[in-house]
Amino acid sequence: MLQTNLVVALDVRNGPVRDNLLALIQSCAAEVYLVDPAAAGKSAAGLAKHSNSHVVYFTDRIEPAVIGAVGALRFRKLDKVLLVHEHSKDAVQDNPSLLEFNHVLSSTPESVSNQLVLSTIRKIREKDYYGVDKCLAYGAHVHRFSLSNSDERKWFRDQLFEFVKSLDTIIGRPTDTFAQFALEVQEELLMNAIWDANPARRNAERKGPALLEPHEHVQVEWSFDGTLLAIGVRDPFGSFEASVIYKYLRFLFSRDRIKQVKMQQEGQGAGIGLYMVLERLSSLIITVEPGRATEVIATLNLLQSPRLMSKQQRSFQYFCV
Amino acid sequence: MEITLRDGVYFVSGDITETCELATAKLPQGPVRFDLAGVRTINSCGVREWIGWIGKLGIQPVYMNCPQPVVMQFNMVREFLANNAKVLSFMVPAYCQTCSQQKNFLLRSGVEFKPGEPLEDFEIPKCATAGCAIEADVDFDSYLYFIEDLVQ
Repeated sequence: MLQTNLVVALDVRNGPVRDNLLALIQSCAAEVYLVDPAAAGKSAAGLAKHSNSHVVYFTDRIEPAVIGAVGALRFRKLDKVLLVHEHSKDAVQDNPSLLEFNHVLSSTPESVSNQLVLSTIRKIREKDYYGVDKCLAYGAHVHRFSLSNSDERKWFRDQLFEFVKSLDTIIGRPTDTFAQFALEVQEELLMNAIWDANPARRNAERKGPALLEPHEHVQVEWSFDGTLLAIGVRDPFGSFEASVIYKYLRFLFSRDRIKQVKMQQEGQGAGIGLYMVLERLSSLIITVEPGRATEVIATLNLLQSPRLMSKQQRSFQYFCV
Repeated sequence: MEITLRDGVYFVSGDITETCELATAKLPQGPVRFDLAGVRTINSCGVREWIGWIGKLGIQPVYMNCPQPVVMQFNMVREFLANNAKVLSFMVPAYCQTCSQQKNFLLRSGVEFKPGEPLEDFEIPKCATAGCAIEADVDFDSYLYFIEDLVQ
């Protein structure tokens, strides 16, 4: 008998998607409670019997009544996960109830990948969310650094640029464009972590170097698993607001490059850095522990051409823990 | 970042960031030519610094040999092309799988593109290798979009 320590409430209307998720979640040794789509609110109330459990509510639609019914119940712990796919993304964007969810997952336009569902369940179960290793295949070496001075960014730019360029033999083609993308992504994430995320430095002059106090140090990770390059930047502030990233969902879920350029032009100003990041990656994973830490991980699929990568819909994960 | 003057052209190289000392560079009035081929990256604060600097000087920037990082900013930050900025030429990165080479194609104003007019049906020239499989590393729809905003 497999040990279960998690109850997953599955509230998905589409039959084949629900069947796939059901089998997938059961394969993780989690108990599944199927919410009846025809009477979701009433059915969700049946979760009350799991009041001593850690419940993870998985759904692919935003129905305030159901979210409210689940939220009103008492559990040992409750995580609400929203799965975004092609048919639900329009309804999700600009929906104020989006902020009710702790976690948002999207991958390919058609569905949320099995790997993403599995890794999310594992993260929730083990309460271990941080680190680029969780986005990559097992065995990839993780390069870890700490940044204590804003001037060190130049070193980080040079090192990452050379690191990615050195992967050309593995990739089988020059990686100049990816090297440029990688250093630009890292650069914007570092600037955010040094200044924008830090309440004490947010409005500080940025022209000169900023020597960071030990409690302000920024953690940086890079790793490559043969396909994906991951760049992770973690700050110790946890000030990243869900509402900020939700502003960018329209860009993330779009596959129309002209529309994306127009969104960038309209949204420039304070948000330009994040738009630069979003344009240059395959997937974005944001983990926020309010008041304690924010980790932003960007992955780039180096086996795709840069052109194809820029045209594809980005995968996106948001975890508030 | 470094700026050096040669034959009436200001060659800019390195990383354009918020720490660049642009104000110390002495420039003439009117049209000023910048060769940007040596720019490795330009970050979000660097763009603002650059735009502010050009705006204060009141010059008309003329950009040439613009690499991909700069072109991406042209598309994203419209003010980059304010002050009646002109783009004489810019690069399109491409890769040919057959000859395993990364190449940069220079598109010139008045030759391959016309400022203010959309560039449609542009194709990367084939290389001499048999079975050439050259393909741009950029999506033309978005990469060439800024051309429509250029002044003639």
